[in-house]
Amino acid sequence: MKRCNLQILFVIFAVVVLAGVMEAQDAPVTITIWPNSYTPSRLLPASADVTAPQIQGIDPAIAAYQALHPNVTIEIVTQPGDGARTWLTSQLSGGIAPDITWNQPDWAAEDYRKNWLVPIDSYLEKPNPYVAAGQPGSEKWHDLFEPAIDVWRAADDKLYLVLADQVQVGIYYNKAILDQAGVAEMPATWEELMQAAEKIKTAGFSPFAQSGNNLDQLTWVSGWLTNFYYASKLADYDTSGDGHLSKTEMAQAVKDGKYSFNDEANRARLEEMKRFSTYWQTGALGADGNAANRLFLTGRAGFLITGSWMYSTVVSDPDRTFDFGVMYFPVVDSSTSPLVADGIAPTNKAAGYGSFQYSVTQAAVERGTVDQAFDFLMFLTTPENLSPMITEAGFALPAVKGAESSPSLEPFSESIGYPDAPFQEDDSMFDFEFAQKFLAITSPYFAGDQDLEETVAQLDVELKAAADRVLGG
Amino acid sequence: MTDSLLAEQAVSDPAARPKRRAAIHWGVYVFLIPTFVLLIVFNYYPFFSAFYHSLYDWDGANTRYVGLENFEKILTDKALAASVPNIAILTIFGVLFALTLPLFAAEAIYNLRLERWRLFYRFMFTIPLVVPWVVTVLVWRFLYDPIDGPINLFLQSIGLVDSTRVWLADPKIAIYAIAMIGGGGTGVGFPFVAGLNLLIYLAGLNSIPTETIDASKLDGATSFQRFRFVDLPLIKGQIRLILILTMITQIQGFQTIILLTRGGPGYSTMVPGMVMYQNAFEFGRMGYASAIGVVLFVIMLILTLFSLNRLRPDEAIEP
Repeated sequence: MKRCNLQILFVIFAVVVLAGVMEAQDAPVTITIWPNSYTPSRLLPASADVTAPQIQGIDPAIAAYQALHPNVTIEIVTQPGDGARTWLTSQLSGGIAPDITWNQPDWAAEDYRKNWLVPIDSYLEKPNPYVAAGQPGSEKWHDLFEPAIDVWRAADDKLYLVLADQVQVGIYYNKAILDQAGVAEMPATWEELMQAAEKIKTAGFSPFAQSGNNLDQLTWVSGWLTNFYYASKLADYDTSGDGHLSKTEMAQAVKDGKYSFNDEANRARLEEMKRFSTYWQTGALGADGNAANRLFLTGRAGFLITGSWMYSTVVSDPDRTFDFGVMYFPVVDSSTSPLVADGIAPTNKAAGYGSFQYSVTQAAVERGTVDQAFDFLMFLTTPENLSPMITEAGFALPAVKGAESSPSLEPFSESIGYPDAPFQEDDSMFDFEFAQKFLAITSPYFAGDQDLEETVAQLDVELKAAADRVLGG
Repeated sequence: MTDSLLAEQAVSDPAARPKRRAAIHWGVYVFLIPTFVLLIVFNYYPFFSAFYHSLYDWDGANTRYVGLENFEKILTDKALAASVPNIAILTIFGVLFALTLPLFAAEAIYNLRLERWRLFYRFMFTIPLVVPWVVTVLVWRFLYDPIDGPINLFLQSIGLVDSTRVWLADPKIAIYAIAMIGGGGTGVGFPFVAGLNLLIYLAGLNSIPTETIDASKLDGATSFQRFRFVDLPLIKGQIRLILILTMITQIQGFQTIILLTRGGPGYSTMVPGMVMYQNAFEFGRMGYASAIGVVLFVIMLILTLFSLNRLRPDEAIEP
């Protein structure tokens, strides 16, 4: 009798445990993700632009993951139109952000301080169960990634972005205009680029199609120049010795009086920027990205500085009637300024920027979905799942070992192999507030309404305030 | 007792009437509850929250009491300082256009003899109300395009090449270009006859007793004299309403700015609303943005009280 009772108790216990385990395994879980560029076209508003590529984006990967995990549902969140930063800030502050969100490195650098993002470091140390044994990532997820993933280490020495692809910027050029202007060879130095611009201007075209009402093109160029004008100062600022200047290191350099806009190098850099601005189209300071793109695509500007994400659009745009090519930014040397040494090697200026740059949010912590969210990211970042996404979209190159790239992005592949640019661009060096102030202060200088002294003085006030914010945050 | 009997009793018994009315009223008021809930959540709560958070360093996640520090910062904020003359220009232009041109149009329509023409013109001026404002702004962006824009192309075609401008890119004229669109908010641009303002003026003119108009005619008043001494004094209420609404719209607006210039080049088109928006959603300084909001509210309140006090509608025409 006693034995029988024990058996019954054991059976009941086993059933309860088994039920608990099965429930734990099959408990339905919903993960939300804002994939941004990898959002399937089916979820986006119909575009008036008939050339806009129609992509499946993240859809096939979600289907495959859900097939593996029938209890998991992945829901795609779409961001309503422009103003991504405003939208994401509202979502994060309200605690209703998607579990996984596309994020900008600069935004993440500010938002982790508010405890809105989950550090990824401990997960990077874990094995990726979706990678075959012996392959990079099978022991440590981190091994799967290219070094670019470590670029955006925050001031707390943690990472908040899973970076699985990389975009690159380049200079698109109109071959017909260059021929007409007598530019026989592609510029190999910044000085030759400016000379080519002068020839194009003389030939009656706008040398550069520039969007002057935002920071993109402006700081791509200003940041490029920084890496040459300040190359000799790298060791002074790089206290960690990792060859990459973090926001904290730059802020400390400002506090220590080692970096200022009144530096000889920065004054010369600003003057070079002003020289560059003389080759923008009429009204460039009021033009946005679309206006600049349209000017180039309709064959009225020699150069357009833009990213790999524009390549397929330029290829398929019906207004384009000319052959085009893409070159990387040419090196700056002493022919531009005696402050720049000859022989400084080019760097990868877009290192750490991609389309697949995702953060896991604090909202996932509160929903109890963090582990599942990281598991999905591990699945997404395997070469088998990532390659179809990035080759189909065609605007980024992989930042994961073994993943394939779209052949059309060949013009950008060489520069991605360069060492990371040690100096960040002016809009990424400190914070978003400084970035906006940089644009507001330099615009009147380029317009000729403000002299260099006033510009330098105003920039230095904002520089010190930005350094205080970075170090005090 | 049946309902009909109750109703009869209510009619016959005066003491029962208020009870019955109250029962009906309560039923009606229940339907207003969702409206009040939404008002509280989306209007009153943010309003009082702004006062509270203006005393805090609040980044959306962390709060720290700082007293009046945010208000002190306002005094040294360069972007905000640059926005003051801009908003003054936009408000002056906005008020000027809102008070004059729709009024003239309303007078012209009011004085048409045939009713069908009155309806026709009222209809024509009202149609733009249904055009989404964003579309209007995008049309203006195209008009202002320095290279392909119709304004510059027209000036070139009539030989005024020197008069072409980079309308939104020249720091000296960009704010006036914004004023021509109707200001930083959702104002109405050239030719400035806002449908809503026109309807308000027309309603005012239509409410003037015909006896008053006839009397002025008998006294030999010319059209201008009637406009000056009869119509204007009797539509002061409408003028005051439009004045206040326009000032509020101009002072708090930044929608056009964010679409066209984002306050640039430099700070040449910066307005306080844009500074507030940037601080709240781009720089993560929501406490400071709340303080800017509070100051804007106080300014609008003062201007509104001043307008109410100075522009009292005339009850009647003095003999």
